[in-house]
Amino acid sequence: MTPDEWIGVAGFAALMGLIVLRVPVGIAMLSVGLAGTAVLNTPVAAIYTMTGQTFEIGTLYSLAVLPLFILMGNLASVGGLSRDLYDAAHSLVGNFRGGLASATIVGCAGFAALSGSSIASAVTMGRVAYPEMKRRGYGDRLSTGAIAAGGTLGILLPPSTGFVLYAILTEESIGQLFMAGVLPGLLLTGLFLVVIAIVVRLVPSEVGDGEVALPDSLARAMWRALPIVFVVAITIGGIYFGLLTPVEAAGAGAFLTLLFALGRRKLSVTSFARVVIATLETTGLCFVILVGAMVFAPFVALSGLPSLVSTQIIAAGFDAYLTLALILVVYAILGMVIEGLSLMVITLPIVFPVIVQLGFDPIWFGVIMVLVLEMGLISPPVGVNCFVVKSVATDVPLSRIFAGVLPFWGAMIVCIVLLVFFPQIALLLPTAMF
Amino acid sequence: MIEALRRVILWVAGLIGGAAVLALMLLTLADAVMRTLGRPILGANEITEVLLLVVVAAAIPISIVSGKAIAIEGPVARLPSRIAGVIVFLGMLLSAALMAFLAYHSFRTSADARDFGERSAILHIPHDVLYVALSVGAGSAALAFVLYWLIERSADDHGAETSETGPDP
Repeated sequence: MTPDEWIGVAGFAALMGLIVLRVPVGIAMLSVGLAGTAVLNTPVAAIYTMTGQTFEIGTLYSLAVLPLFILMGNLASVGGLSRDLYDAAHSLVGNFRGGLASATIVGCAGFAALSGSSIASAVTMGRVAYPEMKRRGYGDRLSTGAIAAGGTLGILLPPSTGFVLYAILTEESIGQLFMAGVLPGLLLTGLFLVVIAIVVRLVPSEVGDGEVALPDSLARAMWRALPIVFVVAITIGGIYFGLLTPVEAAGAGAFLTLLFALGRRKLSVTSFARVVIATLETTGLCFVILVGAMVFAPFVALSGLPSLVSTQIIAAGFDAYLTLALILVVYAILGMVIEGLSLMVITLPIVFPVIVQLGFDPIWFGVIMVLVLEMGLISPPVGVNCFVVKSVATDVPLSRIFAGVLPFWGAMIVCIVLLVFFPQIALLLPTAMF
Repeated sequence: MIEALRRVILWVAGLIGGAAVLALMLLTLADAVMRTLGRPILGANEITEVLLLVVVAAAIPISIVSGKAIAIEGPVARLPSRIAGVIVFLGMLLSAALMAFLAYHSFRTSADARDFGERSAILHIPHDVLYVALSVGAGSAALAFVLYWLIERSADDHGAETSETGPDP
């Protein structure tokens, strides 16, 4: 290894040290990137990299999707659209045994099309679905597991903050990545429903004393959910048919959701202020990470580590799929201790060149990457979604929630395996985009 | 005093950032509609970029002062409180210093941008003003790190006081 490569390794070690010492991930990457570039290049170059990259990220047109889609999700949450989604989903699948849990998954999938955040999906649907399931005597494990796992669909189905960050870091198309997430998102939704059916069959006590009466006729519930379908059709359909750029779709989606929330008289001055602050909070945390990543990435490239790793892996003569499997296993393990988005921005500068070198499609790998992040969201001990569900289901011990998500975790692995063997599931829509 | 400062950041950044997000929403929508009608808004992309920078400059301090910046809590939480306190203090110091450093150099770069006459291509928006906005955002973020640390510390002190006193019988 050359001295530069050793500096790269030291940089990663320092980054991990800072993260373990509770320095915010974005700040840790920024400081290591700054110091590392100063050592490998010059201090002046490091300062120019820092200010230049921060300015570039802050004025990157395509990143305007972030605040706008976050705003749309927050408005949908306040506007009561999640209740309508849940009722529509319940009318749709409520006839099946375990219908409330299935409705939670379908509702989460619907909400995921309005919100790019898994946490927002889990909280919003959790508040609606958990009391209902609790009232009907559903088991803690199935009810909380369904909410936590269903929430993860938020970053797979478009719009997705995970895809936006991946697109920026790898210079791929946000629109293509959004489209690539649609079919895998639907597939995973289906697999989650299969999991519920299996759990209900194996452990009948998990669905309590029977099913509730359907909240409404299917037609009426669907009618009330129509505005959501309209917003999704405008945003996702607009991107697919090439009528709108992702930024315009986000603007249109946020505006329509605002109109619906106003029309339903769900938006007071106070709640609107809360929506705006929540939008800025989430936007801010994404940009802190992005700024850090954009200063860290040039340092990693300067060190020559990515090419070293690629060369070593190719020279080792491993099969491409074996290498991919190893990478995914490492991600699954790291996902248990490092928060998902942080894990992605830290590792992509090294992993992405390897993936490209091995001949995998970058868009397809984006979907795999986001799926692995989803697994991290429900893996102990830092499975954020489980903690979020705990805030809704305060009476359920965390260990039970983690036990409840286990079968859904298995479904995610099945989904990844299917995507590896049939990459067309992810690539069909992006290649057919107008 | 600390709480008042936190509120000032939330209010000022919230108002500016909120207005920018809403303007962003209306602009992108209007541009899409006008483009469909064959009359796209001139320089809409550039205005979008400016608005995004304002959003980012306001959003970062808000996320920090609200404690939303992503950090791994686990390992430090397991340490004795005195050691953990020192580590958290040093982390805050690093974060605040780095943001102050970014603020200072963004401000200096604004002078360079002014000297070189850097402007956007269509609307000729001067870049020096944008660097100043970035500088203000980073400076506020530095302040936000200090404030959040003070808020956390006072909460910890209050917690320790409560646990020393014990619950009311």
